[in-house]
Amino acid sequence: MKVKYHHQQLLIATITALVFLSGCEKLLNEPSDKSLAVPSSLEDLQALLENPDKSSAGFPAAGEESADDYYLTDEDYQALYTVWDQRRYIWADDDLFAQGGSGNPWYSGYFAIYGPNAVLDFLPNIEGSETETGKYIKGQALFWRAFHYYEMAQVWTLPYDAATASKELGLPLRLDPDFNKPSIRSSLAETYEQILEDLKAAVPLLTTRPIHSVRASRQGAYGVLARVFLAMRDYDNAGKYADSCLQIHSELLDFNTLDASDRAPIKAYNHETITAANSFGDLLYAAIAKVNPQVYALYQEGDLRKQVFFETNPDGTHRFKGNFMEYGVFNGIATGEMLLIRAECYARAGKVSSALEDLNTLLRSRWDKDTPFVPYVASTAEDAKKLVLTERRRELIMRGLRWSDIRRLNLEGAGITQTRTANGKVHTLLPNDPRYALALPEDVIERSGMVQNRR
Amino acid sequence: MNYQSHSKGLANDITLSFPTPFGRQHFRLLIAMKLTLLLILLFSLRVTADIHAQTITLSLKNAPLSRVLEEVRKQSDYDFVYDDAFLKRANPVSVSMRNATMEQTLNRIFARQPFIYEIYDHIITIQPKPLASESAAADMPDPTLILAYPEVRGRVVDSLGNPLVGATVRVLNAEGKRTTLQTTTDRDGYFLLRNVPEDGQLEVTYVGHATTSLKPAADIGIVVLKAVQSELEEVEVMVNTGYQTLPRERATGSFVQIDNDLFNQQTGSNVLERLEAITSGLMVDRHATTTSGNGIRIRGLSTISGPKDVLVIVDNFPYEGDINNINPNDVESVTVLRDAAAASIWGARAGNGVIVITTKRGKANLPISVESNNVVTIGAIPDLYGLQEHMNSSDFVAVEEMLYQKGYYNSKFTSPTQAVISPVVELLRERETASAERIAQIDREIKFYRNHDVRDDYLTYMYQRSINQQYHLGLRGGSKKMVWSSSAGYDHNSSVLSAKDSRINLRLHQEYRPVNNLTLTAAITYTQRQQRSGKPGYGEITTNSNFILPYTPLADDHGNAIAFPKGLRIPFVESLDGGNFLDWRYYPMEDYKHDVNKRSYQDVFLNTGVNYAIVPGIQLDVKYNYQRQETSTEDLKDEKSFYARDMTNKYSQVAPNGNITYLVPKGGVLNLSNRTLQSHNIRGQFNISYDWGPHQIVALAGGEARSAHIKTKQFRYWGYNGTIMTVGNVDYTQPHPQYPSGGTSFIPNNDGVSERTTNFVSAFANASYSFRKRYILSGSVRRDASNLFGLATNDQWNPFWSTGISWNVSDEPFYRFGTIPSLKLRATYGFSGNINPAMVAVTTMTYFSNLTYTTQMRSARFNNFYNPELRWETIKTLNLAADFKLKGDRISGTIEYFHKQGKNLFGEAQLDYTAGIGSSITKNVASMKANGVDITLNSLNIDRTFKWSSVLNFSYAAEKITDFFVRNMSASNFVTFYNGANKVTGMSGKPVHAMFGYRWAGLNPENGNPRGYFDGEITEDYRKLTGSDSQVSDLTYFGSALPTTYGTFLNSFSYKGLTLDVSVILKLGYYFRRPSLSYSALYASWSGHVEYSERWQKPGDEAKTDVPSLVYPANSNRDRFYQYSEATVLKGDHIRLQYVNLAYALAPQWISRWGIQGAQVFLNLSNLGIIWKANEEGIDPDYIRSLYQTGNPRRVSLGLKFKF
Repeated sequence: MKVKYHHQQLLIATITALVFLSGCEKLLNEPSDKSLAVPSSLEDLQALLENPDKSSAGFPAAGEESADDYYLTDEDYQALYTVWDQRRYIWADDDLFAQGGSGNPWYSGYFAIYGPNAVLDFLPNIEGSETETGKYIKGQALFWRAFHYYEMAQVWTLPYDAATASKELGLPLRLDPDFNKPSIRSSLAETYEQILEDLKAAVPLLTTRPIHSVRASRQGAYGVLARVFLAMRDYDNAGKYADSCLQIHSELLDFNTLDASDRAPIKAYNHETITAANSFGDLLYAAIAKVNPQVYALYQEGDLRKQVFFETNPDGTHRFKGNFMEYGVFNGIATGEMLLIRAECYARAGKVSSALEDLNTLLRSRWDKDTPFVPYVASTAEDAKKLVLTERRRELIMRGLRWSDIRRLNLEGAGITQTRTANGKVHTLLPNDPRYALALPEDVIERSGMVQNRR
Repeated sequence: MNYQSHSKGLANDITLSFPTPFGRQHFRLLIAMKLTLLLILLFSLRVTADIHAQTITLSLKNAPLSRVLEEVRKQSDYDFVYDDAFLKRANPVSVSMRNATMEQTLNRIFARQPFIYEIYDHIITIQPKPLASESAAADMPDPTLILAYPEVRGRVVDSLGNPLVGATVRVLNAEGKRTTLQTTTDRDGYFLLRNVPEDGQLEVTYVGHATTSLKPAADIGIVVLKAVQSELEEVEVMVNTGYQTLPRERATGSFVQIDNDLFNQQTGSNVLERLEAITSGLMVDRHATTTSGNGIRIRGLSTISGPKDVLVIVDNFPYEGDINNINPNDVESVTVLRDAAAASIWGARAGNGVIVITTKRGKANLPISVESNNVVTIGAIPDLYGLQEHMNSSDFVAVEEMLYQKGYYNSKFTSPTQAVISPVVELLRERETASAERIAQIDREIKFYRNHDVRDDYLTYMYQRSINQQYHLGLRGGSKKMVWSSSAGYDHNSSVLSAKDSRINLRLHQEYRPVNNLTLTAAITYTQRQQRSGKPGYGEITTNSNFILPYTPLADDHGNAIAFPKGLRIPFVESLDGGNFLDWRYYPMEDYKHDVNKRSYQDVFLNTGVNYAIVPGIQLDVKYNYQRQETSTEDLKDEKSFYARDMTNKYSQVAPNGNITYLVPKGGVLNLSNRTLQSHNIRGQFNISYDWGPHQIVALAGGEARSAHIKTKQFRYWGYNGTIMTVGNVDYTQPHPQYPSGGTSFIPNNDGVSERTTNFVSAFANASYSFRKRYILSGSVRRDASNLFGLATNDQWNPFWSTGISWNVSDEPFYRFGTIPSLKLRATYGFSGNINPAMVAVTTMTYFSNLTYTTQMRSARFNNFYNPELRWETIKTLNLAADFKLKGDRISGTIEYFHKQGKNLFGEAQLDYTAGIGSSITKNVASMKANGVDITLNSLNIDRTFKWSSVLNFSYAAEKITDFFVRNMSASNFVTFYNGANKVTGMSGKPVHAMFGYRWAGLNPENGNPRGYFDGEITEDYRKLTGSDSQVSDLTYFGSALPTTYGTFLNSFSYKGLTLDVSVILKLGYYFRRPSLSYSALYASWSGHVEYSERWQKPGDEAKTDVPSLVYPANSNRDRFYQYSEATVLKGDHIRLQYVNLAYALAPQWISRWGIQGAQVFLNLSNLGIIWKANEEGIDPDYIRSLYQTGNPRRVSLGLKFKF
C-alpha cells in the first residue's frame, strides 16, 4: 500500500505543475508596455501623423540660409560654432552639414517622410481604410510627404526647368517604409511628378479647412500646389491653385490690430495661417541674422510691416521679428503668399487689374489706418509683375521662399548675383551656379552610394 | 539630480551622530528593535524529542546517513547530537536488520563512516574520527598521572544558559595531549569525571561551539561554551546557483565563492561595490557606471549592444529593485557564476554572468546568537584642484578679453533674449563708456576676478567630509524543527555635498520542519530608504548650456550668497528691480535650500517555500517570491527657488500700461512622481538525489513563471503653497509669449503615466552524475519565453544548454604525484544568448502620454521598425579548469581557461538615413570571440603565531571581433572621446571597444597648429583629416579601451587577535583618452581645460607641448582633430590600493565576563588611490569618464563587531 501512497503524492505534484503551466499562455500574451501598440487602427495612424516633431517640422532651412534676406557680420560669422555653419554661409562646394544624426536637415527631412510612408503602407490593411476617416488619413500622409519632398527639392536639386528636368538629378524618392531598400536618386522631373501626384491625390481626401493649422487640409494642398507650380514656372497652374486656395478662405491679419512694440507681434496659428510649418537654421537666429538693408529700404511710410517685422539693433542694423510661428522660420502656407502668387500669375497672364486688386487687398491689411493708403497702379503687365515681385520681397521676407524665387527668376534671366563678405573675403554666387543645388551630406553619399550634385 | 556620494547634500542639517532621540528615524529604529526582541522570544522555544524505548528494525539501501539516524531516533528513545556539516561527508548506508540492539545497530551503521559515536545517557554524539596521530596519543597509557582528584563535577551550558547535552569533557595530560579519560554531559548538562590528574587540564568540546580548556577542580561550576559559526565554511565550500546548493567538489562549472569573512573586509552600504576588490574574473567598467547600470563585467564582454549587466539573484530569485536597498550585513555569502555551465540554468538573462547573494539564516540545533556590527565611515573631500576641466581664472579672463576685442559678444549684447553674458564681459562693455573713476573701479573688479578661484569657494561653502553610519543587529538560532534568523539595520549617509541617504532594513527568515519530510520556509525583508538632495557640486551649477565660470564668487567676504548669472544678463535683471517682477537672480549658495528633492523607497521582499520529500530521494520544492518596491519622489522648488521665480517671470504678460498678469502663478513648483514595481515569481521543481553503490545522481527539473510590473505616474503642481496647501492653474493648451524675448512657448507640462509588464515563463532541468566521486558528468538545459512585445511565437522559446565533466585525478589509484596531492580537472561547454528588447518582429509605436498642445489630440511615434533580418544573439562558452593543492596544503588554486564565441551579436549598424528611421539601427552586426584565463592562487605563507596568507586573482580576457558587417569605414566612426569608450569601434581583429587616434605629426613650429597625415603627407587641412575622406586605415590603432588584464591581490596578516587585510586591484593592457582643450567649447560654453596654460605660444613650444595654439575664430575641425588624435591617448594601466583593514579581536578573557563571546574593533581605509600608473599626467583612468569627475575620495571607517 505504501507504493500507492507515493503515486498519489506524485499525482498531486504533477497536477500542481500542470495548473502552474496553464497560466503561461496568458502571461506571454500580455502587452509589455501599455503605451506600445502595433499600428492597427485609424486612431493609431492619425496619432502617428499628429506627431508635432515630424509632420509640420523638420523642413530644411538651408535654402533661406543661402538667400539674401539677411547677412552676418564678420564677428558673428567668426563666432559660429561649427565649420559647417560657416561653410553654408559662404556657399562652399561641399561639407555643409553635420555628419549623421542631429542638426542635419537631410536626416530630419527623411525622418518626417518615414511617417507618411509607413501610414500609407499600413492603411490598406486596416479596417475602415475606405471610410471618410481613412481617406482623410491617406490625404494627410500624401500631403506631408509631398510638402517635405518639395521643400527638400529646393535645397538639394537644381531649379526646375521643363526642358532639362528629365536629365537632371532629383531626390531619392522613398515611398514605402522598407529601410532595407537602397536609396537611388530619381530624375528632377520624376521628383516633381511625384510631388504633384501626391498633392493632387490628397486634394479630394482632405477637409476643406484644417481643423487646426498644424493639420493638412485641402486648402493647404492647393497652397502647396500653387507654390510647386510657381517653382516649376508653370504660372497658369500656379495661379489656378492659388485661386482655389483663396476661394476657400482668404482672410488676412490686419496689422493694425497687432502690437508692433511686442517682441513677437504675430502670434502662431493665427487666422491668416493655412498650414503651419517651420524650419530651423543656425544662421537665421534673430540675434545674428541682420536684415538685408536693401530689403529694409523697400518698406514705405505707412507700411506697418516696417515696425511689425523688424526691430532696430543698437548699432542701427535690423533684426526680423515677424515670424508666423513660435520658433524657427515659418515656411507654411498663409493667405498673403497665396495672394502674391495669384497676383504674379495674373500679371504674367496680362491681367493687370486683377493682379493689382490682389496686391492692394494684401497691402490694405498691412497699411497703417492713420496713413492714407495709395493703391498700386500699373499700366503694363511687366510693371505689374515688377510690383508683385517687389511686394514678394517685402511680404515674404524670412519665410523660406526667397531662395526658390532667386532660382526660378534667374532661369528667366533676372541675373540676381549674390555676394557675401566673410572675414573680409567676398564670396559670389552667380546666377544658375551649380551651387544652387547644395551638396548632399557626405556621409549620406558614403552610406548610400548615391551620386553627389555636380560642382 | 542624482544621489551618488558626490552629489548634492543638505547644508543646514549638520547632524552627524545618531539621529536625535525624538526624530522619526529613531522611532522607527525602536520599533525595529522591539520587533526583533519579540521574534527572539517566539523562536527560541526549543523543540524536544519524544523518547520511546524499543529495539530497532532497519531495512535501507544506499540511504543517506542522516535518514538512517532519523529512523533510529524514531524507533528508540535515543537522541543524536551532530553537526549537519559532518554528515555531508557521510557514506550512504545499506543495512538490513531486525530487532537489533542499539549497540549492534550503531556499530553496523558507523562501520564505513568517517565518524565515531559516543553514547551517554541516551544521547549519541557523533564526531569526526580523530586523526591518526591524535588517536595514537589517546591510546597511550598515561605516564604523567601523579595525583588525582577523586571526582570532578561541573555543568556545561551555552551562552544563554541552556544546558548542552552530550558535550564531551576530556582530560588532557600535562603536555596538553588527550588521555583516554573522558565523559559526556547528561540531559541537564552535568558531568562527572573520576581520578583526574592534578596537573592535567579539562577540555570541553561540543559541536558547533568553541572548545574550552580549564583547570580541574572538585566543583568546576558552570562552563559556558560559545557557539562558533564559521565551522561550516571550513568543512565544506558550498556553491549556490539559486536553484540548488551543491558542494564545490561536485560542481563542474566555474564558480567563485565569496565567504562572509572576505566579504566583510570592506565597509559601505552597497553590496555590489565590495565585489570588485575580491572576486576573480570580475571587473567594474567605470564608463558604464557613469552612464547606466553598475558596470560589473564578468569575464569581459559577452555582447556588444545587448544588455550588459549581470543578473543579480537574492535568495534564489532575481532581484528587481534597487540593489542599494540590500544591507551588506545581511549577506551570508556570494557566489559568482562565470561560465555557461554555472549560469545557463538562469537562461536568457544570464549571458553576462550571475551573482547569487545568499542572506543569513539560522542553523538547526544552534542556540541563539546575537551579532552586531557598527561602523562609522568618514570620506575625504574630493580633490577639486585635481580637476582636468578647470581653467585658471586669469587665463579665462584673458580669453574673454580677447573674444570681446574680436566682437564675439556683439550680437549677444543686442539679443532680445537677454541671455547670460559673463560678469567680466559685462564689465568690459561697460568700461567703454564709463567715467575715468568707474574705469578704475572696473579694472579693480576684473583684477579680483582674475585672482578668484571658484574652487576655493566650493571647498569653503559646499563640500565637506562625507559621513556614513551603519548599525546592524542580527540574531539567529535554531532548534531541531525550527531555524530562524532576524536582523535590523540602520544606515545613514551624508555625502560630501550633504545629501542624505538613510536606510532601515528589517529581516526575518525562518524554516520550519513540522514533520520529517516537510520543510516550510518564510522570509520577509522590509527596507525603507529616504534620500534628500544636498548642495550643488562643481559642474552642477550651470547657466543655459554653459558651465560655471572659473572665477565665480559664491559668497562675499561675510559669507553672504552672491548671485550667479543664470538664464538672463545681470544688467537686465537689475533693470527690473523694484518693478512687478520677482527677483530674477540665482544664488547658488541659497538655491539648493529651496530646491529640494526627496525620494523614498519602500521595498518588501517576501519568500515562501515548501519542500516536501515525496519519496526518499525525490523532493518537490515550490518557492514563491514577491517583491514590491515603491519609489516616490517629491521635488519641490519652492517659491523662493530660482526655477519657480524664473517660470513666473518668464510667463508674465506685461500690458502696455505696465500691469502684469502671471500665467504661471506665484508660488512653488511641486513635482511628484511615483513608481511601483511589483514582481511575482513562482517556481516548482523536483529535486532528485539518488545513490547506489558508487553511483550518485543529483538532478532537478521544473518550471517557473515570473511577472514584473512597473507602473509610474508623475505630475506637477504650479503655484504650490505648502503652508495652506493650495495650488494654482496654468494653461498648457496654447503657446504664451515669453518675457523678455517675446517668443511664444508652451508652459512645460510634466504629467505622465506608464505601465509596463515583463513576463517570463521558463522550463529547466539540471542533472549531475558522479561515479566513485571521481568522475562527474553534468548537464543543464533551459528554455525561456517572454512577452517582449511583438516577438513572433516561434521565437519566444529559446533554448540554452550546457554540459560539463570533471575528473578528480588525484583520487585515482594510479595517481602518485606527490607534489600536487590534490588535482581536479573540469571542462564545460554551453550555450547562452541575449534578448535585446529592440529585437521585435513588427513595427511598433508608442503613444506620447500628453495630448498635443496644438490639436489636443493623441500623438504617437514609431518605436521599433520591422526588421525581418534580426536573429537571436548566441554565445558559446568553453571552460577548462584545474583545481589543485600543493604538498603541505600551503598553496592551492584554480586555473581556468575560457573561450567564448559570440555569433549574430547585436550592434548599432550605420544606416543611410535617407531611409528615415535614423542614422543607425540595431542589427546582428558582428561575431566575436574571446579568450581568457582566470587564475586564483591561495597561499598560506607563514603559519605560526604570526600568520600570513595571500590570494591572487588574476584574469586575462581579450575579446576580438571576428566579423563586422559594416560598410562605412570612415575614420570618424572609430575615434572616441574620453567619455565615449563604450562606443563600439567594431572592426575585424580588433577589440569591441578599441582605441584609435588620428595620426599626429606634432604642432606646426611656426603657428602651433596641430598637424596630421593625409595620404602620407603632413597637413593642416582639418576638414580632410576629420572628414569622410579619412578612413580607419589612416588611424593609429592602440589597443583595447577596456582593461584586458585585471586582478586583485589580497594579503592577510594575523598575529594573535590582530589581523591586517590589504587589497590591491590591478587593471592592465588598455588605453584611454584623456579630456583635452577645445577652443570652440571654451568660447561657446565656458568649458576650459587645465592644459590651456601649456598651449603652444611661441616657436619652440612644440617640443614641450601637444596643446595647439589659441586661434580665433575657433575651428571645430581643428579642435576635433587634436582631441581625437594620438596626442590625447594614454596607457590606462594602473594598480590601486583598494583597502586596508586592520582588525583586533578582543581577548575572550576580557569580554566574557559581560557575556560577550567575541568582539572585534576594526579600522578600514578604502579608496586609497593609485600606487602605480603608466601615464605620467597624473590622471586616474578609472575616474575620467564624465565631466568634472573627481574620483572616489578616500574613506576611513572605524567599526565594532560583537557577538554574544
